[in-house]
Amino acid sequence: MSYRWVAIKSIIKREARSSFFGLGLYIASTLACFVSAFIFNSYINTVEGNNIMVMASPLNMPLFYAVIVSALYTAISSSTALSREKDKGTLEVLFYGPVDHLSVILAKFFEDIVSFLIIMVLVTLYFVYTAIVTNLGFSISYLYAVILSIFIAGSMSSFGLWLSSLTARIRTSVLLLILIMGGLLGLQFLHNYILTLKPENLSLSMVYIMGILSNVLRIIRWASPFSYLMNGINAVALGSTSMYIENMLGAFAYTIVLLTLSVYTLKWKGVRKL
Amino acid sequence: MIKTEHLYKRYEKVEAVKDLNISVEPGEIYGFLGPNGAGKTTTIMMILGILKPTSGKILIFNKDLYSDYFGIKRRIGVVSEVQYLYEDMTAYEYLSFFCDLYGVKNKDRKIEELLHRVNLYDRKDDLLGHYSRGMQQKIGFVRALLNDPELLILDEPVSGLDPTGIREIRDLILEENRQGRTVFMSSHILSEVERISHRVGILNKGRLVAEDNMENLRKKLTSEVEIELEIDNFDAEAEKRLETLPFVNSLTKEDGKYLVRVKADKDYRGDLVSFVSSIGGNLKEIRRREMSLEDAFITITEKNISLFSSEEVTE
Repeated sequence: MSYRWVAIKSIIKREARSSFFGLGLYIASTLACFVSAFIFNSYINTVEGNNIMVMASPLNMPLFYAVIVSALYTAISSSTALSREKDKGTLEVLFYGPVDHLSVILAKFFEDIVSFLIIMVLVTLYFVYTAIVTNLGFSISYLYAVILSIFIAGSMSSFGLWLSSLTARIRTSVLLLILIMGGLLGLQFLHNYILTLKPENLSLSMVYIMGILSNVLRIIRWASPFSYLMNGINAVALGSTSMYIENMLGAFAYTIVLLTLSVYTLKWKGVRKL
Repeated sequence: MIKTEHLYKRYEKVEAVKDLNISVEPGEIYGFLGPNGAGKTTTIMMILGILKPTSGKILIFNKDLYSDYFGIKRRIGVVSEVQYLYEDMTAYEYLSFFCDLYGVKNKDRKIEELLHRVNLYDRKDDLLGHYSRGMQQKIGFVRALLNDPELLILDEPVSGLDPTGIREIRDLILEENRQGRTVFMSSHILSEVERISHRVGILNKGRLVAEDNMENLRKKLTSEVEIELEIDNFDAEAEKRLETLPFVNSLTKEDGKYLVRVKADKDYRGDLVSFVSSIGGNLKEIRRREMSLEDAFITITEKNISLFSSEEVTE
């Protein structure tokens, strides 16, 4: 095994241990199950009210919400992964030894994926229990959704790591993440709102703004990890294989680009405690 | 072991290190001295590859760090002024993690042996966050020794420690050096460097102004020698005559004792004894004051002189 992989493996082990004994992982899992439970409850209410509910993959919708919660946890956790260590000075100490920028970024990334998988296992256990109790059936699309969610978690993690490599304080990282998430969601809502307006009622300036927003959103579609999340949910919901594969490949490419960017950003910003 | 060639580092408008050429030989303890802000830590960070030099070259084990980054890093141990430990880990877990990082075999035996050496074995299961400053410093040392490094790089290793802590760390450094490890130690605590270093490099305002062993440094810096005299029956007239002796540069009185500054070209103690007895003075004590590293350091840094050019450094 190369020295770099030894370093990556050791850091993953340490980080996983820290996550395992920390609260974040369990809070995220509980929240994911809690959100899903609301949807299960609405299904039960529907069945109670109508005596029937027709749905091809009843577990997919609750799973999507669980994935949204878990992916957000991944984004928050990764966005503080490097800045927390820089803030405490522990990142500098790692670099005294046989650790380089690439090994730190890859170790943090894989640890995020490990944490995400642990959450998914816990969520799936809850889903199995619920399926047995409620008689809701699993379908193959559940497996597809879980596989896709790993790629989405990868894009979330790489995005968070890039933000983290930019900053040297935990607070700054979290603020940056909130600002970017808020900005992206704001743009999405604005665009959706404009789309609801009747074209004949739109002024020339509104048409112009719509044009700009469309172009911005086209870019964001590739630049924001949240669009991979939403597109992925749509792909599974619509059962579109081409959309599914396109989204998976897109998320993978996005992850590679962001991880590379994180390595260079970390080199540029440095690893020392300020 | 370490060789820098024309090393230069600039932070925007500040020149932190200027044309630094140092050479640390195998088996020696090299004291890297300088006042705060002289560029010592910047130099160490460049040696470790944490900071990138603006220009110049660094060789460690005669190799460029990036020609074998992981291989070279595995042969180095580093202790910084502050340890920045993972405070949610116990000492054992922390050291075990670094053993994994360095690929140390028989890690349990290694950790046990080193913790016994620093008297922390009984506290191995305590969280590092509960350790005192001195204990954390010792853990930093243990971490640096886990991989049996050939080269120890110490950045202000005793700064902020109490006298007992300083002595323990000093003994540890000397013991490691006796076992053949090369030590590169930066410090502004002059007495410590003077006690243990074979050679000293003095950095001032980013520039290496002196590099030699202590004896040669003293010789180079001393153009005059201080001789302390304690004399009875020595009146003002006698003082005036002493001051006008051809080899005396100056005369001051401190706590009832005379401090005579004489030229360093020869030992004038015999001449002073003859003079005092010739005028009827009763000489109770005569002592030559050696120049300490502190004196040398203050002379060099305050006067901003370079021992390489024997001239004042012009900015």
